[in-house]
Amino acid sequence: MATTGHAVELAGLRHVFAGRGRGRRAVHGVEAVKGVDLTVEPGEFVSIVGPSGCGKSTILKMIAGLLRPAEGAVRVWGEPVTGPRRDIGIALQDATLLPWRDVMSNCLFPVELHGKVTAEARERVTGLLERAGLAGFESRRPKELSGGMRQRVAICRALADDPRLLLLDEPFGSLDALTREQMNIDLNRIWRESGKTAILITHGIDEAVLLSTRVVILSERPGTVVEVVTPPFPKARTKELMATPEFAEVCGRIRDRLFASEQRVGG
Amino acid sequence: MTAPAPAANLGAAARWGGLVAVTAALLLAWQILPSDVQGDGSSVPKLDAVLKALGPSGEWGAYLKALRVTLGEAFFGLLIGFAAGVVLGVLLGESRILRQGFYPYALALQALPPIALAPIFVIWFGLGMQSKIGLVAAATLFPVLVSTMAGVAETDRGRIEMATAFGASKSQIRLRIVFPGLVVPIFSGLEISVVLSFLAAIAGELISANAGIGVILQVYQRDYRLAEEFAVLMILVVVGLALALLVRLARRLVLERMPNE
Repeated sequence: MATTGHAVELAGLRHVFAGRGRGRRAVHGVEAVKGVDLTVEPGEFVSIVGPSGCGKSTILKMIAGLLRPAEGAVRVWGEPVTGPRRDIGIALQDATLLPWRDVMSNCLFPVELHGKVTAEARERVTGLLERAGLAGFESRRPKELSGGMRQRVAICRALADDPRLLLLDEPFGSLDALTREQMNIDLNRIWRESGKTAILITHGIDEAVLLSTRVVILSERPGTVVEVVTPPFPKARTKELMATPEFAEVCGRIRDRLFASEQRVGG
Repeated sequence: MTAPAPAANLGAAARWGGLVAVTAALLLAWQILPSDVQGDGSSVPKLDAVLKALGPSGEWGAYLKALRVTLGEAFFGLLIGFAAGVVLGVLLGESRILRQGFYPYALALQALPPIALAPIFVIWFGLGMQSKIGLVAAATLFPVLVSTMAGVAETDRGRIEMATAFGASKSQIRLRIVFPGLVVPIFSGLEISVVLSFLAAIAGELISANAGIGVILQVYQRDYRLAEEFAVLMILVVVGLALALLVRLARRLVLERMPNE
């Protein structure tokens, strides 16, 4: 496969959610994102932050091949995206585990869809579950797990078929702050050890700074890139990092930028 | 973090104690309270008379023979109604055109009390088991159909989106997301239908039949044998409860043993 070297390229991306009805009762279409340009390099961890409704999830869905952009181009590993790809793993805000399958079988779901479940795939999932602190839970059903464990299973599932690109749409959004912090540290380790490229949608500024090599700030709807911040930290992130003034400084900068864009659009 | 340990054993005495006490009190009251209100022996038979009718000197042979017929009708009728309900439910759930065309008919037919069909079914299928089987099938079809259809239509959007994102085809989504998700709704339909199957079989027999619980109930009524009548009612309670428990047990077994796919 010929690649241009970029993991993901978004060029002039625009999306409009269709309106419905005609005449006076018409609901107008909503422009969700507009003129989004972004390039993600292999091995990067890029977070996209922005106010609610700025089209963050829309961008992710376009990369995943679940939505087609109204205008602009989406390329993954140099190829135009025409639909869901096998080399993308995705985890959404809800874990959406299948309740009738056990943990192992839930993780193997994408592998199954793409072909036969091999011994190698099982081994890989076993390793992933181990790294996610879920060793010994392989034959448990989702209802026997806590919310945090379910989200970790969902991330293992996203990685199960050894995708080159990991897409995460607020996978820890529904967890309490403490669990979330632990998940972030775990995710950082999993990302480092796997060497994957990852894109995370979040509205948690701390979370974005803690995890990312770059943080992309979107404006209010229609979302467009207003700034890209590069947290100046080594790849391995720790809880201690969050207590440093440097960390607070980066977070503060992003927060200011988010507020500025909101005021400009709103006022 | 792990699943909570079941604390069921702790409450066993408390759970069953109340039931045992109430049952004992009711049986005692039944035996000692004056029940012959009209003074002609026709009101309520005493407990010991009912127990005698249930005992070795009673008519166990007749009860069992009738029960076998009735349960047979209920079983085969339910089998037909259940199978048709699942198949039609999936079809109507999957296709909007079929749903729009046929669902109003399904609703209209459901509004028709199955008992009202009994005379026609007897004319069509005769006095034997066939007419009752048809009646049971008609009565048990709709709960299964409606819950299956709802199960298909209400498949979790998030699960479908997740599978689509991983590249699942339409048929993969149907086989791996929609169908496995139907087990729970199908069982809730079945729970209703099992009760209905017993009810429809006996109701059909009461209207016209040559064998079954409905028939012996009518015979005992005609002969004023109230103790036997009550004995049959007690058997019906036990059988009805057993059927409901059986469905629950089946549901649990199926959900626990569901293959990992």
